[in-house]
Amino acid sequence: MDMTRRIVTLRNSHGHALHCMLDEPAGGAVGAGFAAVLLCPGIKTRLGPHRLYRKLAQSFVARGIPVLRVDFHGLGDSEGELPENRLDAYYDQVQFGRHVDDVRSALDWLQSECGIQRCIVGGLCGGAITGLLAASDPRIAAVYAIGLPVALEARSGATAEHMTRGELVSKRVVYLRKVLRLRSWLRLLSMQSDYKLIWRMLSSALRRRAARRKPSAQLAEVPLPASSPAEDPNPKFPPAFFGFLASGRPALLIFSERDRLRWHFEEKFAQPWANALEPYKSQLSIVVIPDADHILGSPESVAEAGRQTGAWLDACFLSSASPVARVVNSAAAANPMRFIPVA
Amino acid sequence: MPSEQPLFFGLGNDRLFGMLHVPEGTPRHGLVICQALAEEKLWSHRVFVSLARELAKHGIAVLRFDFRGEGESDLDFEQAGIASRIDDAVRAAEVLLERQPTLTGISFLGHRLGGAIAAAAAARLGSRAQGLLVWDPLPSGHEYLLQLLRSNLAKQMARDGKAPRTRQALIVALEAGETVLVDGYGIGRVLYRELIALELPALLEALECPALLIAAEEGPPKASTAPRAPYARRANIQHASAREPAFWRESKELCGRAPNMTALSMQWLERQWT
Repeated sequence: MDMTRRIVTLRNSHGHALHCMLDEPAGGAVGAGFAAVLLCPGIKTRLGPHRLYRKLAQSFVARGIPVLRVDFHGLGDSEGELPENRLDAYYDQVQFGRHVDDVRSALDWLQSECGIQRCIVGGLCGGAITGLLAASDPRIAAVYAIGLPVALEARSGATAEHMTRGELVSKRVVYLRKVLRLRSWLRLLSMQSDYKLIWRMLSSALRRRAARRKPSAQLAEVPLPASSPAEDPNPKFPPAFFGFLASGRPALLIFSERDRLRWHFEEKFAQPWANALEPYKSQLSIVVIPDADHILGSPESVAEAGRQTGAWLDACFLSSASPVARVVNSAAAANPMRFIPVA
Repeated sequence: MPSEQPLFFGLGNDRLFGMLHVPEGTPRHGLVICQALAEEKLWSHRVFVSLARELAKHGIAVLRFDFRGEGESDLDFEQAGIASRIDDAVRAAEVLLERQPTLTGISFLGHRLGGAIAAAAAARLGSRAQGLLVWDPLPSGHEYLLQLLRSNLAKQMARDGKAPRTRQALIVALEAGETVLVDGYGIGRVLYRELIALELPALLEALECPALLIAAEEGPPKASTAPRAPYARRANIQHASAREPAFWRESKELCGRAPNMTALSMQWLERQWT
């Protein structure tokens, strides 16, 4: 395939240099109707496990769509530090949108340097949820999600980071009683307190409050589930998902048959919200790859993911009948040199 | 302020990706980092980014790079072997010397299997190689292969509740030229053949420069850090251990640094130069 690869260094709003890689079709990226932005899955950098993103990029580039693979701040080669020292705590922060700002910076770069205003955004797991959470940005034309997580990662345990909500609530009651005690304040100021626990209690309370506020404050149109959802949902997921669907944009959701995240999506989201999802069926392409694991760790799985990706791109972006294609075609009319039809 | 320059460099028709960490002012020394293979490289990646930044702050120019078949460099994983990786490491050293012309030589740091590759590259570089650090050395490529195959067996067990393709069956398949998958990476005939022939002690025998081998100890530090027998033959090879988690494997911890190995390495490097 005729593809070139070049290094792109951009800066996020905090000034961190993000070292990214741009996979370009023949003729380069400048002026392309669309770009794809692939986002780090967990800590697995802009490459993904077993260089998965390089393989998936081929389906986009073959259709004239450049692919920007982004190393988030604190990951891969990029600048910045991650404050967490446990993986599950970090994964939860990703699910709360830790890297949405990095996505906006990538979109800014594509817009300013390549003139690209419409992007397909996502990736595997953490990359998928980050793409969805970033989709309030109107430049995101579609979400591309492989193994989209709907539930939080952190599990119960003895340490502050892994206490259950009930434990944190009971601890918070104890700490509230200490607020008026001088000795407690001395301990706090002399670095003797358990800051990690205090932070967890406060952030847990704030998260719960935010989650309670969300239906009325942020997205009044988030429907109520028909059945009780799971106890460990990501409170950011339903508003982001329904907010995205309400805008009329399409999404490809690829799941692996042998991945627990497939069942999480099915049982913790799709079933409880089945009625609410019904009107949006035409926007959602959901594919389950037989015999695949979470990382698409076989050539057959990768090939099938590539095939499904290509078919979705053809239907949503390169068919003249699709609503998204109308946007592409109008962009192509403005710049007829750069719109590359499917081979 | 040290700077970081992502770059591609050439080797024959192929391109390799690297990240050059340049200290402020004239560098006192140069170091080429040879990372571990496959998923071990991904899990440990950030440790070496942090290490390179730390070293650059202390006046050392560092080149991290991706072997061909890995990361952003050319070739599929299946196409690259040990020999190609040694060529890559030698080329990376030349690139560092070209880019930092005040340097008269460089040291290598290799992690896990990257340690054996760094040792071979240092031997080939001759007098321009001034030192070798190996983190968590792997004495034998064959043993390492068995570790990799264990991952294949674990995947079979997770999938089917049994492992119908035993380790021996996998080795037979490799011998027959079949590609065996480990965490999504295909181990083909080239890598298999070169891996089973790889012996770190033999590579260290050919080394002219001094070396420090640092074993990772996950538990409390042991009273004795006596070198393991196969490495103990030469006076210019020193041994140490450092308490670090296995940051190259998936675990509950998020490891962005290896402070104890870093401290030992920096002390040793400073001693070599004074």
